[in-house]
Amino acid sequence: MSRVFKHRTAAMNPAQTLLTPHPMGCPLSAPFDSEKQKDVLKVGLGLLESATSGGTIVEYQKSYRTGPFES
Amino acid sequence: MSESRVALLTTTDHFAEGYDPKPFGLDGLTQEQAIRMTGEFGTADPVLSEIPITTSRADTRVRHGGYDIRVVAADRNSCLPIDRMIELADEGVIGEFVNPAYSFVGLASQLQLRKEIGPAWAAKAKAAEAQAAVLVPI
Repeated sequence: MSRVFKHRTAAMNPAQTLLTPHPMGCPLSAPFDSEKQKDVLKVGLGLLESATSGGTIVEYQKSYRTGPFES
Repeated sequence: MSESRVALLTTTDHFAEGYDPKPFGLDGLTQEQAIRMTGEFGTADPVLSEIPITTSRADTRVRHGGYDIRVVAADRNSCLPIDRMIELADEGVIGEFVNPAYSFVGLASQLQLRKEIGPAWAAKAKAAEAQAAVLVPI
């Protein structure tokens, strides 16, 4: 999810959360940035295997980028 | 993860063409109308849309008054990553992508969502033999 909601997310104490530095409305990436979309999903899914406790919140490190990308 | 069935749930209010969830019983609610009705959405029970993962991009619709939908209207995968999840299943990163994907308006009654509706949706996902779920809020 977008880092915009970081504090609200922490208050809800979800199982595992990946926060991305992306604008609200495009938490996975800019449109058509398929490489980033897949990478965000892989990192998020990885939390399901690597997190040792509930409530884990991790920040995605790669910056938002705007392309252009192939549609 | 490579052996797990993984479900996808988003708060974006995507739905498949022909399967408008018809909030408030309104047929053909427009994006402009949804923007004007954000207050009503905020206190209403959310409705879950089931989106077959075979739904094409062209047949994927989105309507939500609480955020700028232009990005996800241009490319659903920015928040409803159906195509990416299919690829991850094909690549063996996940065992299987649960069909259908799910979406609803996150701008809804949070009390009802937490106490009654959410658990019912979780039961639905379990009935679809989901072993994990990716929730993508806007």
